[in-house]
Amino acid sequence: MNNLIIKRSQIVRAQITGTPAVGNKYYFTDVPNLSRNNIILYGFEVFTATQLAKTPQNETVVAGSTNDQIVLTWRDNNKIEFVYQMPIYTAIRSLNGGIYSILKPRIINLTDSYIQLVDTTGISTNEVVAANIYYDIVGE
Amino acid sequence: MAALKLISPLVNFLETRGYIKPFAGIEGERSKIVTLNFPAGAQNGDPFYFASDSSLDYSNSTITAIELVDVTTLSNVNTVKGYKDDITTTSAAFGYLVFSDNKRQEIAMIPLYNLVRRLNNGKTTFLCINTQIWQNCYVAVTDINQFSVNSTAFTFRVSYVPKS
Repeated sequence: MNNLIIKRSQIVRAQITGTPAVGNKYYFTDVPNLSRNNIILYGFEVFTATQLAKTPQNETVVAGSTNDQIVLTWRDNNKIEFVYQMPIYTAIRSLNGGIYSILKPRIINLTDSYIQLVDTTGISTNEVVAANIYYDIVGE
Repeated sequence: MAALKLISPLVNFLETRGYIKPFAGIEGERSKIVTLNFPAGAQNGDPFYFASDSSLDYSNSTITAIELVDVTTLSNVNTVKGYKDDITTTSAAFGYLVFSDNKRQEIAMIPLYNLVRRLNNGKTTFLCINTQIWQNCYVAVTDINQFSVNSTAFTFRVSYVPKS
């Protein structure tokens, strides 16, 4: 069995703006140095407050108890939802034997990717779902 | 007759590109413990830079794995300010580690909690970091009140491969 090697990583987050609602798409926030659709995603993991209580931007991360209420979708630069509605529980490393989620490398469009809630219990306005993306840069 | 090892083309591609390796694989050629004390007047978001260690700079080594040593793994550690307790995993959720290069550009940013090996079923965090300047790498915290700044310190076990 293999596990991921971190070459480059960045904490990204999708903020739950407005009153939390089931089915709404909450898009990932732009990260300036990743905004040129020039990153090749080959793995990721998701954090709740158990792993990362607040983001570096001082946003509160959703509680660990909500890890079965959220799904995540990654879209590529052709707008294909190549990971569609993956339960975030599956992507929390410490809940899955320390294994990262490893993907076939693909150029992603971060701000086209999003999370959705299937239940709003315990989730508050302006909380974020945080993820670490593991990537390479196109051409490197 | 040697056993035939079957590898899928995708796994072969990922291994060739250096994206994955066996989780029971070698962490590095060498490893060392690195400690980091809280600076005086530490604030949320401040970078707590590591002391210079040229053996961990890109010119001398590639960093291949890292582990945050929490208080359960090792109760205390000898730092330049004397023995300090290692931090708890509860505190670790309020911090993150950043690798930076010689232009202070961020290479990788990893929450501390994720670097505690025992919380990840014994699987280490593999890295392939080879543009770092160690003294430009740092830890930052999002709530300093979650830490006992006078009695604890961050301890990392860094695995690396020296460049000859």
